[in-house]
Amino acid sequence: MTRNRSFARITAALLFAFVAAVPVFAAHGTADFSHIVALGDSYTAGFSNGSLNERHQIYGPAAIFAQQTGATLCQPNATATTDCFAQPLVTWPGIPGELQLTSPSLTGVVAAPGNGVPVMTGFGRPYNNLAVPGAMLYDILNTKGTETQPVTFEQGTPYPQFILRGLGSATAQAAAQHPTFVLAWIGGDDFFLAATSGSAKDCGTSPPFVQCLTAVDQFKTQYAAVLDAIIAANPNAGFVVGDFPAAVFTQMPYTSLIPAVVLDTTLKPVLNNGQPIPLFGIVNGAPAGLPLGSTVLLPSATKLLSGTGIPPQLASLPPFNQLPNAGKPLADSDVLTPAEQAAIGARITAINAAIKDVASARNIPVADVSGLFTRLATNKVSVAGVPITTAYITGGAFGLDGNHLTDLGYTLLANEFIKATNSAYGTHIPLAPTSRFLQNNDQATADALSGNNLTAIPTFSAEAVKVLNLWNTMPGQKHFRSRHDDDGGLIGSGTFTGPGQTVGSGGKQ
Amino acid sequence: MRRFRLLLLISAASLVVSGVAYGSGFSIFEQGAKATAMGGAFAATADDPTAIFYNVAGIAQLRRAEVNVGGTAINFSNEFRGDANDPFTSGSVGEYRHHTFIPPNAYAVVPFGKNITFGIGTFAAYGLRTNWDDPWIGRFISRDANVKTISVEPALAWQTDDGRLALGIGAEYRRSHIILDRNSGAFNPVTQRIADVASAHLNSDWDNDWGWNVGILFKPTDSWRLGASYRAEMTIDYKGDANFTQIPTGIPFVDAGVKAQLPPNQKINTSINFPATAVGGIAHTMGKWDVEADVTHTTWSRFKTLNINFETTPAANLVRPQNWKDTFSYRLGTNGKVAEHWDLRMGVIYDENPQPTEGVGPLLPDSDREALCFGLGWHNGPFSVDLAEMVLHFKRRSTVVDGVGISSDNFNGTYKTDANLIGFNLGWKF
Repeated sequence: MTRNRSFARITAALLFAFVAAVPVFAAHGTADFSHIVALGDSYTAGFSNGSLNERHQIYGPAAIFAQQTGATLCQPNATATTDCFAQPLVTWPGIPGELQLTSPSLTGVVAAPGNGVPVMTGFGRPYNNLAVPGAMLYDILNTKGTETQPVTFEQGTPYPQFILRGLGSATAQAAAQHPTFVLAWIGGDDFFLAATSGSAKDCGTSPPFVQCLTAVDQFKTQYAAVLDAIIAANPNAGFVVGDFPAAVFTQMPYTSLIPAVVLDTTLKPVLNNGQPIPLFGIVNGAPAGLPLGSTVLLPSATKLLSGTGIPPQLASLPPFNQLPNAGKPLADSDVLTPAEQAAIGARITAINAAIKDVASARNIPVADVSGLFTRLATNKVSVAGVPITTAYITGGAFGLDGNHLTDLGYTLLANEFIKATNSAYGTHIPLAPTSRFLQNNDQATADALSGNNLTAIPTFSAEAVKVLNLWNTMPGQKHFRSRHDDDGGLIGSGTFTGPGQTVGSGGKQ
Repeated sequence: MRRFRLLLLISAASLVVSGVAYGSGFSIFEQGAKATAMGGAFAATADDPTAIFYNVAGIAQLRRAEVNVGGTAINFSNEFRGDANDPFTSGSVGEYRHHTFIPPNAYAVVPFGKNITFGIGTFAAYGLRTNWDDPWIGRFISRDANVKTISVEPALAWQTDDGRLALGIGAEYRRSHIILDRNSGAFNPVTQRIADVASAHLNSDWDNDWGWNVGILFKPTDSWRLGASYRAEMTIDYKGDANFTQIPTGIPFVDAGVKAQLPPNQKINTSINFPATAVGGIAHTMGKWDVEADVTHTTWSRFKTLNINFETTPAANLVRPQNWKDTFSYRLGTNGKVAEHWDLRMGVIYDENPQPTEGVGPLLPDSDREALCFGLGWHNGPFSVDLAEMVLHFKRRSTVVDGVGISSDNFNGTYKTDANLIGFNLGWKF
């Protein structure tokens, strides 16, 4: 008996020592990665090059995160009982067709013809990855994929139907499948859809919420509601969330590449008496010169080709007088003005504060996504000695749509969530290696190169030919080319001084 | 604007080797099978022609003309494992391509009168090969590094009539040749992968320098011997060629962009400061057994920086700090005359590495080493045959210190290296 008691004491002491030796991490729930669920928007879904398709879904941040914890990704033929991380896979070329680079120019960015098909619509349980491109917090809480009257941008798209499948909202489906760990990078489209449509308008409190900024208090309430609904059903689930880059307008090609001024062939502003010449757009509801610092959204570059945005006072001068739309203003939705940028930037900052509030109240770690974008924008990231930057097409982080990430960019993003998780939960999830994207090491690339994807590139698609012809058949094109150089830029009249006064832009994305 | 310039981000600097790092492995102390079998503890013994390398004074003991020819077959195995917290190397592995290196050695001695011995030797006291097997994710830092040296040393030693004291001096003519290979990558905007777009091949001429060495051997009693040797530092200035070869991606406009940025083939120059080596040893004879202990000091701190100068595009010049430190190695060996014609030998080595942790990388992942050696000698009349086997273990070396990766190449992970050396020498006394 005495012996037993001393045994008990020793055991108790050892137990205490063990408990004391385990570092205590103040994080919500436990770090059990046996059933991961992801919530989010196009980024978390792995949307890349303007498309949702399986070639990039498998490199989406949630898929990468899950794989690094040891999960396997579901194959299209997986069943409800297969132990795998399920995503709503779409065959290539995706929905919509993936953008491809066919020549080193803006006009060389062309969508692959046709559409892919969702191949797991009959999958017998909710997907692990419930991220829906275009999903605002409102959608994550409410949209089920069966709506007939869209009240958000997302509901006007095909994604809710084949991702949520009427099985309940993303939040409800997440809660009901009893996740052990939840990656929720949510709320981005509560500002992003506005930003990418040249708008900073507030959503207001009643639907429809289309391409608008969600009010901060509403954001906070909805954000907390998503997390709390899942926590209520799964008190022990672990979580990781992420913030957003507030300086996105200088860090994303879509919104930063094309300044709203007359440009020369090297994308440098043409100067008149030392000043850039503003393009013509809509300011406060009326046509006017755009304030300096405005940017033209990437897809609107095609309008510049035909002269849209050339100020009326230049429209009658050669060469602008040969552009059919010279003198016509750019639409409000083509442009982000400095005021709009400032309003959206301030909103993102406030949203980040809200996310930190909501997360810290629940001991949920916040991945430093804004830090990643800052590092990318300041040349702090390299892979195999190659700098990875926010530059369009060649930077490596952003895909051809200029606002979503490449597989490589998504891997960097996933690593931010892994770092935040490891730090908060004391786990040792290995970072996802960027060396996977060395071309010669990557079987997927080798397969793609030998398959039907990239071999199609040298023969231009119909759309590509159309865009290129548009340019080549423009009046005066040959004349301009002969006067300038083989860059084929348009040369302005003698009115201005500058290194090859040029207007126009590349083609449509 | 229509055709906006495709700026593939390959920098000229990334096309050249960013660092050369040699370790104790760059120094090869195995220049005779008898000495190797005794763990290299041979400065106070130095009783065969390989003394020209180990302690030049020792050849004064050799009163018959002798030749001795051999080599050391070296096999390395190496494994790299990426660090889980390194976003590039995480989960990756790598290993050396298999090579057997056989640095040769050959010596001849001719005594004159009672006190003087002249000798000449050739050996390869430095050498390095780190050739990684494809696919190797570190190929953008180094795929293949190959440093060869070969030395020729005329030597002269003198001993007192009673043989208790010997002094020697040698002049070493060292030739050396370097080859460095690595690839350069660029983001291929069509595949959105990092493609190998060029390889850089740096190939030096055989360049040379002269050095000197001295030795002393003292036998205060019949059973005790003291030896010391000093081999002076050298600096070899290399000239050579840098050749850049484009690796086509198969996408014409990408390849055109790369071609436009490829540096021209050009002359390069660099130099390597080889260290000085000082050895002190003490040996004792107990019956059939000789036992010797040596300490070696190598002034690797001379290797402060590596500069590679590009003569056509100086903008690509490299200045890479190395900041090595001086090292000691400790050697203990024994030779037993176990039977008529037969000697049995054993030795152990502990060898410090000179390389700071941040410099540990694909070019040379050095580490402290331990070795166990044994060997046999057979001699009959004028013939002798020596065999040595050395098992060399490098301590695991990680570039992660307290959880933080500090590799100056941003290439963090752990290196495990082992080597096996087989030495063989044949001797003939005239």
